[in-house]
Amino acid sequence: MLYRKTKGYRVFMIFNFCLLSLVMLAIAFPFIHLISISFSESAAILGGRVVVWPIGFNIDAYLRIFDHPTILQGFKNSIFQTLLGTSIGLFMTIICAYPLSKTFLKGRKAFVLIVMFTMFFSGGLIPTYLVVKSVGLIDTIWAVVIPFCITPYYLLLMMTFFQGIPESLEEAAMVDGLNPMQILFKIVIPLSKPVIAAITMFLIVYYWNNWFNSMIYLNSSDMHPVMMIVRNIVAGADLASMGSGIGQNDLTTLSSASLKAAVIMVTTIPVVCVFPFAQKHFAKGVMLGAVKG
Amino acid sequence: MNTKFRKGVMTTLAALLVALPISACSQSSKGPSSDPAGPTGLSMMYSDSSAYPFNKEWALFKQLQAKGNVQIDVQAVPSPDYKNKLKIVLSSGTIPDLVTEVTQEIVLEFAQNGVLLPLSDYMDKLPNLEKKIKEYEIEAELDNWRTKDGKLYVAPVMNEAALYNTAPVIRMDLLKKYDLSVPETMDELYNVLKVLKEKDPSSFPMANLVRAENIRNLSGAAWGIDPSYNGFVYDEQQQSYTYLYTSDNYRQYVTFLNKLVSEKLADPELFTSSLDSWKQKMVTGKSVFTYTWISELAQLNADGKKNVSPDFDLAPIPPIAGPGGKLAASTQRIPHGIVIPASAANKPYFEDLLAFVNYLYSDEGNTIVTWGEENDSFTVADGKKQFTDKITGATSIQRALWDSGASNQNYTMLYTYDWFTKVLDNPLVTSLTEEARTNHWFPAIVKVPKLTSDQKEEENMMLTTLKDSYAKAHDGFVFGRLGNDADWENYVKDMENKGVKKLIELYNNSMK
Repeated sequence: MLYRKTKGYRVFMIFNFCLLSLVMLAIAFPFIHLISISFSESAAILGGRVVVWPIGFNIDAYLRIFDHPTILQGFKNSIFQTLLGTSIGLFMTIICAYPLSKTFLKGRKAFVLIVMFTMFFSGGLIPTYLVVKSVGLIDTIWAVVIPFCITPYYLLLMMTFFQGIPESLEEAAMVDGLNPMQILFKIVIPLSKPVIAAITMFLIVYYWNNWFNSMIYLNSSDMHPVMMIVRNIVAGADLASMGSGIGQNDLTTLSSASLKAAVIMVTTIPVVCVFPFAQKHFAKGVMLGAVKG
Repeated sequence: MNTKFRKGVMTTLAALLVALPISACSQSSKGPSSDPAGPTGLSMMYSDSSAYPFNKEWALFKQLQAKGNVQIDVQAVPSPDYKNKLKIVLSSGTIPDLVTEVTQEIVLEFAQNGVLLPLSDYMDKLPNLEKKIKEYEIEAELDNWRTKDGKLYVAPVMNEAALYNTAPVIRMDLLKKYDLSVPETMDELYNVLKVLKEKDPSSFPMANLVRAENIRNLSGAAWGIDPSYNGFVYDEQQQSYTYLYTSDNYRQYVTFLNKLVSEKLADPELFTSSLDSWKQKMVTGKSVFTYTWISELAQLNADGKKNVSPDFDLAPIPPIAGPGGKLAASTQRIPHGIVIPASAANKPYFEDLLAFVNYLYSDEGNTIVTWGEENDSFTVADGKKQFTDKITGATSIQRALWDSGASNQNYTMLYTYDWFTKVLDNPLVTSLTEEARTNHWFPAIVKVPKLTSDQKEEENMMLTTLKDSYAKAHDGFVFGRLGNDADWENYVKDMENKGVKKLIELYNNSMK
């Protein structure tokens, strides 16, 4: 222990502990509150009586979600879409960002500008749909993966990171007889783990959460991802009860608040499970001491 | 570590290279196919209800295959996003054979582009539809769905009768407790709310579920300001459109709401409440009067009994009369319809497609899609149909029917009154509807102007600014920012200059 346990130090520690506990509570409380809402009965939720513990414990909301005929298929689809989308997206971003990070590349500026252009202007939904249709991707998994595999923002992020890798390192590799491809895969990529981990995480979250593209481009319901299904369940909990046409004389005591909370649990937990594995890469600065002299 | 990572990247790449062509090939085209021996395959774009998700295993599809000789390939789209996808699909040119739940505005918009099939040209193939239009006496409403040249581009979903399914709703237990009578006019309503406020000063007796339009749609007829087409109605006597939201009746309406708000008889969140917070206000007794769907009441009452008292009783009452008369909220008897792409006329199975649409309007077809399977979900005795115990014993009749694919708003083309009341299974809706029919509580149908696409564009531009200033002024009048005569005159002038005059001209021209 470097610090002596003085009185001031102890006071500081107690204060610190209290403050951090409060911060932690502020983060954890909404989550706990949602969990208990997802298990509570409608009357108690609407009466505003649910705080930390569930009142009138039931699992109706979860039953409603897992009662959906294609929900399990939806989970499979989501996982597949996320894996495929993330790997293609990562690969495309890397091989696009690496050349663009080289200042000696002719016309580099023009390319970067073209990439940046798409950040501010998009083709619009219907034209994009027509392009995807004319190349025959509609109703295939590729329609939700290929058109979105490069996100300009991530590309620029990756490019800037690559620019930060010392040139002398790559020169040394070239002297040792590596060609540019080998330099990318053997030197640059291993050195770029922090940015790769970050972008992987972004991509995973993007593909996991994105229901809109699937809604537009996929027709068969057995290809729909879980996010699209649960979005429908939640949005419908509001709409269905509005008696749109036929009266919904449903006497179940399931409230839409409880359903929403259960959906949040079901869909965030898988992503939360992935986070710790990627997180350790964020911290590691592999670059330390790579260049001497 | 480095080699491991590199290996990982390489394996992923290799896997991708292999997977790409394989999965690309496995996607075969799913177009409908006509086989003389088997049933006709028809594709259907379908609005997937959230509460009752689509299931391709539904028994109904087997029945349709056996009796209607069709095999339906459903493309389910979640209902909240249905409109978005619908517009894209209709614009893209590749359209399924049957597109369900298309609203009037979209039918007219795309009918002009030549995307849709004019069903009125094929009425000889659709005798059942023709018959039911006559039988239901629905032509006045159906006319709004026709283009200017009188063609019909939609197979309409039709209700045999209008239902009294939205109503003013009040806490009967409190009326009894304080010995108040059910309010019949707006003035009586004001007095009742005032008494209820005195008894519980912390309450806001009147609440409104989501948005200002809701309260206007549900109570506006009694004020003579609803139903309308964006505030415009056709005046038969003057042979001209007029604008209701600058009328004298409208001024009385906002003045009344303002009185309720300023005396704290109405919820300050009258126009900004969310569905959940509105429910919360009702079931905790914070609010005791509202306009809503009668079918909502079962759950509100169940929750209210637990939270407030066992006597808790929210009940629908007859329409509250205002300057417009004693009128209920307007009910559309044609909510939406099915459209068929114009390109279907060249398909080999076109005849079968029309035959199937015709079948949906037949008594036999309609029985299958509404009542379900005979002896399973319903029985016939003395020519009258009754649901079996299996259906009536379920927590929700609607849900029980849905589990077999019946009672689905996507392909149910006809809702008979008899069936509807049995599904609703709510004696209050039935008795109030009977009363509404004998006392003529239902307001007349609004004539929708038939605009060309150029006119429609012009209309859109003007309507956007008009609606903005309207909404602003509406809030101003209700919440007391505006109110005196000068404010009103300014508002009327402002609205006329912002497009009311031009729009009336546009609509009048469209009638010629």
